[in-house]
Amino acid sequence: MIEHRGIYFELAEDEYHADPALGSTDLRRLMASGPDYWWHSSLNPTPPPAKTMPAIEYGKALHKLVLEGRQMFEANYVQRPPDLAKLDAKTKAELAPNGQTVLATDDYDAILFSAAQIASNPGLVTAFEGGQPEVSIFWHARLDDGYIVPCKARWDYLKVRGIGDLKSIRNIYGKPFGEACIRSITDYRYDIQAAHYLIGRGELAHFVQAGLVHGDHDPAWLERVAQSPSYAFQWVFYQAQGAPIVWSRSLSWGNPILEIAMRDRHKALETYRDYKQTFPTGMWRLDEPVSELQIDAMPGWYR
Amino acid sequence: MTDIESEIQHLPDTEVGTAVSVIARAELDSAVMTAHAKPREIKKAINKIASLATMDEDTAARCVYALPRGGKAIRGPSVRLAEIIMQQWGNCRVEAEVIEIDRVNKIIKARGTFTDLETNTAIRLPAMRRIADKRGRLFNDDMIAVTSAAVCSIARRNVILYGVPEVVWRKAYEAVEQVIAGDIKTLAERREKAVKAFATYGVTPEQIFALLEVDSLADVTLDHVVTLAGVYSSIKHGESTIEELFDPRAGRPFEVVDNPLKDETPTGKAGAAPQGGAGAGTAPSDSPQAGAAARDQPQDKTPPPKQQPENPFRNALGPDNKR
Repeated sequence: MIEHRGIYFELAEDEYHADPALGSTDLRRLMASGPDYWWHSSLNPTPPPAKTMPAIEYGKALHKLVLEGRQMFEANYVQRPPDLAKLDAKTKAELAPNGQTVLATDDYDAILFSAAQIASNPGLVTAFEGGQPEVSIFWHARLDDGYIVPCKARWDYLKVRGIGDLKSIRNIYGKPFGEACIRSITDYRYDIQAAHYLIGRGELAHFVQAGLVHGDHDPAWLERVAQSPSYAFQWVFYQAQGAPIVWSRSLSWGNPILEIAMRDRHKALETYRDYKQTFPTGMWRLDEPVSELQIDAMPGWYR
Repeated sequence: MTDIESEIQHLPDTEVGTAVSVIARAELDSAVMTAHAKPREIKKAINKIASLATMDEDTAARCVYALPRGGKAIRGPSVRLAEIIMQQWGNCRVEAEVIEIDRVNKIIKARGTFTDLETNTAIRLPAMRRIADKRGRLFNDDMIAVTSAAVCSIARRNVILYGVPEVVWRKAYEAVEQVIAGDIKTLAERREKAVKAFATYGVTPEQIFALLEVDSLADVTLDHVVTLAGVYSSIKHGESTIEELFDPRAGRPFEVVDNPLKDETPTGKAGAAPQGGAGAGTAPSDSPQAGAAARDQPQDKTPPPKQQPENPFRNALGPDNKR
């Protein structure tokens, strides 16, 4: 298992995920419990296979197109012909000779349309231009007691003054889209992701200075990123079903939302440390003593 | 049990509904007839509204509500003033009821109905309140009941203010604001009084100054006095809570990076210090944010530079970017 350190351009997604450092999804799992994290982590000798759901594939394809452009998108995805009755191995080999992912006809069209909609939003015309897609960074966080936690982040899009994060969501309850996005941020703790990514961004200048930069990149541009006196995190949410609505919000340092996210991120790092120390080998367990379930532990609506 | 109720009990459900609607209809017809027989005197109503609402300073203070929104205070007539308006306008009926307690989306919906018996017009308006705490947890039944009463009050106020022409109550509202504000002679006394009133809720003068975006008591103006009276009134009537209004984090100033993905002006000045660790320069030293950020920094890091204002709207990268 390779452990990375520094800034990586064009690092393969699988390689990024294989690194045992803590990314934003790991932090979210640690927020739930240590065993939840362990189960999905590389510490588990038999982790569950990564899920491939149509919604995840849709999101990945949209990322590829919006962040890396049409050429890269077409190199990785092909459209299933509408009249193709069955997609067997032989047909797939003919359709995608270079191992591209075959997208459903409608999904492929929807992704092209979505990307065009994002680019046509007046506030986002150049949001995903002039920067670098999928930049990874690996650093070490030091806790109060000196314990070191390896951390990682993979920025969707890095610009001089910002980190762009594209999210396509399905607004299943039909809420006003902004409300649905905020719900999504709180449900999936995307605020913790934002805090984690901004902390990683804070390490960038030092890695540039130390020469810990890997992969093909423009050093002059990276120097400008490193020297930028201020930067922030910005979400671009896109409604994947229904009207093509885009909603974008940023988080700057000092924002109390980040304060809450930082607090919870820190708790997650401490949970990691505590479990690592309690279970140096083997499965992480949640060993709580048996006790009576009390009424005040039940949710308000139950009472 | 009355004779009518006794009869209704022996009727099938559909007939009970019909009987109730017949009774309601009769009541309404009777009210409409009375309204036509004794039409309202508009000028008298206007004068009485103003006179009751400004009867004394305390009454006037109860007639305004204020909520800070986006750095400004939204002020308007309160539930109490709406009640005075309704009573003096006369020949009208106002109802407010909860129509849905949505425990999934954690909101409570109510609607207010205003019926003008003289002009035979009716207006119906919805109102909504959250029934979750700041952590998103659903309120318990007691709190839902309290919120139900608050949302009905809001629905009632809103529908009265829509149902009764603004021209009828606007002057009264302006007079209310004047009474609350007082004049330059009473300003010092009223500022102190406002601060003391909030102290009963545990709100400190500093929190009040932050709410008004002023530095000290001396900066509190006549207009601020009205806002404070309105805020106090809205808390007292359950339209807002201390927690909502005085969250010390809300409205706290911080340097916002405007549209971070928009192309930037070349701000990378020659020799400028590289950006330091996370949260550089903006977090207070004792905040969890700064604490965690500091802990994340490698030992050999240089201290972060202070952030500078900038013009973010130009692209420093140019066409040679890596896309």
